[in-house]
Amino acid sequence: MKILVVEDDTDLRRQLVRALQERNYTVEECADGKEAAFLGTEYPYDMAIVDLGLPGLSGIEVIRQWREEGCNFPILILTARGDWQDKVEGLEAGADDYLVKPFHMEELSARLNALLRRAAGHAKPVLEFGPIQLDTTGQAVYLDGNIVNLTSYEYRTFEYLVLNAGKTVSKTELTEHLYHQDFERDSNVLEVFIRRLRQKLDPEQTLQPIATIRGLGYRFTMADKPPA
Amino acid sequence: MRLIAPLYSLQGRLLIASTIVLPLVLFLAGLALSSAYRFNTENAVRDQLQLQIYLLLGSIELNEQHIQFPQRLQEPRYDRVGSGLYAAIHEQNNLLWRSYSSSLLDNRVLSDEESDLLLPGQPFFSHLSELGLYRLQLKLIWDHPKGERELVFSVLETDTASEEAIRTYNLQLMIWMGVIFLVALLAQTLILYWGLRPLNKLAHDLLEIEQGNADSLRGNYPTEVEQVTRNLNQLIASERQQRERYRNTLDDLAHSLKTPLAVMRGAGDENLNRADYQNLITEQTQRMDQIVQYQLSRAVQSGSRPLGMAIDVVPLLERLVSALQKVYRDKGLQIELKLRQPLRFNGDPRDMMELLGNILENACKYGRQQIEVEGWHQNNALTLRVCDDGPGVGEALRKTILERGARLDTSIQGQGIGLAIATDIISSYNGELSVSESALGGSCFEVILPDHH
Repeated sequence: MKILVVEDDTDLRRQLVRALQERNYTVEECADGKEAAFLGTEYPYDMAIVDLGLPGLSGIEVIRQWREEGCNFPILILTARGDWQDKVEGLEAGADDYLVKPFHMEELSARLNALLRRAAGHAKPVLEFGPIQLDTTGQAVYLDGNIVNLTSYEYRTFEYLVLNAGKTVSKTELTEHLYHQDFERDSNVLEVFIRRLRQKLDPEQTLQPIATIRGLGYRFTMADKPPA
Repeated sequence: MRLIAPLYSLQGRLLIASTIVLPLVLFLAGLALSSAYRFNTENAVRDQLQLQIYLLLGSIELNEQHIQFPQRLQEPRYDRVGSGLYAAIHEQNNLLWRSYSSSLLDNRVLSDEESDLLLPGQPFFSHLSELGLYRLQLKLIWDHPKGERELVFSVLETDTASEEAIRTYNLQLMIWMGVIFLVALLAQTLILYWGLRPLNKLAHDLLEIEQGNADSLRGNYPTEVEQVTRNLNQLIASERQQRERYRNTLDDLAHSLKTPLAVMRGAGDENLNRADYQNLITEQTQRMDQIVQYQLSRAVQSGSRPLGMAIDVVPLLERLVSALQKVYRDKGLQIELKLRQPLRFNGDPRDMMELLGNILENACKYGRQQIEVEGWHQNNALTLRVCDDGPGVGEALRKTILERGARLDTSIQGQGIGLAIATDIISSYNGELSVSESALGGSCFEVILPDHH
C-alpha cells in the first residue's frame, strides 16, 4: 500500500514516515501544498494523509483539487485546531476522516486500516475467505485459525491482492504500490513472493487463492464470506 | 475620489450646502417680492389714470369739430407744461384735444397705431419705459345726433415717482435679504453645533475609552444616537469580556501546564526504568494535550450575541451530520433529524458548531445504529435533543460525564474533553444540559439555550 504523507513539519513528517514504514506501508512524503496537489494527481496512491495547515496551498484546497481531478483514494486529514469548523470543511472538501494533533500512532494506524478496508468495500477489520483470515489491524494472516508466518513484503503483496479482490492486478501495478519509486523493479522477485505465498497459504493446493492470468498479472479469487 | 477637507465634516457639508442654497432661495424670494411690489404700484397708477379719464369724460362736451370744456378742468397739472400728467383725445387718429401740459410731447406718444386696435370700453394700460411714462387709453363710442363717433382718450403720467418708490423698495429688500442671509447662516451654524453636539460628545467619549479613562459610553444621548451607543457599548463589553477570557485562559493554560511539566522534570530524578518513564511521559503529554485543547476551545468561545444576529441551526446541523456520517460510515448509522423549523440561535455560529459537533460525535461514537436529533424553539428558548441507542449512561455517571475531561469508555478513542467543551459553551449562554435515558435505549442529551442570555 502506497501512502502519500503531506505535512510541513519536518519532525512530525519524519515520525509519520517511520511509523508507517514500520507498519509495512510504502511511504512518499511531501511538505508543500502545491507539490502535493501535483503528486496526488500524477501517481497512483492508495491513500493520503494531509495536514490542513500547509504552505503554498492549504490542505483543504489540495484535497479539493485532487477530488476535482478525479482522485478517489481515501484521505485522512490532520488538524491542529481541532474545531468542528475545520473538520467539517475538510470532510466537505473530500476527506474521509480526520485526526486531531497530537495523536497516537496506533490511532493513526487504526484509522488508516479502516479507511483502506472501507475503500475496498469491507466493513470489518478481519476479512474471511474460507479457511483464510486476513486481519488488517494486526497485519496477520491465519489459515484454519493458525497464524501464517509471512514476511512483510509477502504480507503487503497478499493484502494488496485481497483488497483488490476480483480485479486482475498487473505486476507493474503491484510493484508501483508496494515499493518506493527508486526501488529496482525486478518482476522475478514478485514471482518468488507469489510462489511462496501460495505455498504458505495453500500447502495442499486445494484452495488456489491466487490465480495467474498469463500476460496480465494476478488475481485473488476467493470471495469475502459475509459476516455471520 | 478624494473629498476636499470641509466635506469630511457633517457640519462643513451642511454649511457649504446652505451657503449655496440659501442665497438662491433669498434671491428668488426677493424677485417675487419685488415684482409683486411693482405690480401693485403700477395697478395704483392705472387706477389713478382711469380716474383721470372719468374726470375728463365728465367735463367735456362734444361739438361737430372740436371739444369744449364748459368749466375749467379741476386738475391743475394739465395746465403746466411738463407737469408730468398729460391727456389727449383723438378721433380716428385726429387730435381733437390735448392738455396744455403735453405741449412738449410728440403727438405719437399721445396716441399711436396701437390705438386702432383698442376695443371700445376696454381700457389699455402700458408702460412706455424708454420715455418714462405710463399711459392708459380708452376707446369710447359717443352717441351724437349725427351718428356714432369713436373717441380715444389717452392719459399719461410720468413714472418717476413710482420708479423711485420701486427702487427704494428694492434697495430695502436687498438690505433685509442680506441681513436675513447672515442671520440664517449664523442660526444654522448654532443649530448645527447644537444638533451635532451629541456626535461630538460621542467622538469625545470614544476617545476617552480609547485612552482608558472610561469603560463605556455613559450619559444621555438623543434617541437617534442612543441606538448606536447601545450597540457600541455592547460591542465594547463583549470585546472586553473576550479580552478577559483570553487573559484568563492564558493564565489558566500556563498554570495548568506547570503541573505535568513538574512531574516530567521530577521523573528525571526518579531513576525510573525505561518502560515506566515512557508511560509517564505518554500520560503527562496526553494530559497536557487535553489542557491545551480545553483552554483553547474556551478562549475562542464567544458566549455572546454579536449585535443581535440570529443564525439558522438547520443547515449547520445538516453539514455536521453529513460530515459525521462520512467518518462513521462503517457503523451504518441512521441519523434522523426531527426538526421543527425555524430553528434560530442567537449567538456565534462557531459556538453552535462546536457544541453540536461534540454532542453529535459522542452519539456517533457510543450509538449502535440509530441516532435521533430533535430540535424546536419554544418560549424564547432553543431546545436540541440528541438521543442514541448506545449503552446509555448510568445515573451516577451522568454527573461526572459532564465534568471536564471525564471519559466513560476508554476503549473508544477520543479526546475525552468534547462534552466538557460543550458544557462550557452551554453555560456561557446561560443554557442547560441534561442527560436522560432515551426511548431508543441509549442516552439522551438535551440542550436548552435561552434567546436572551
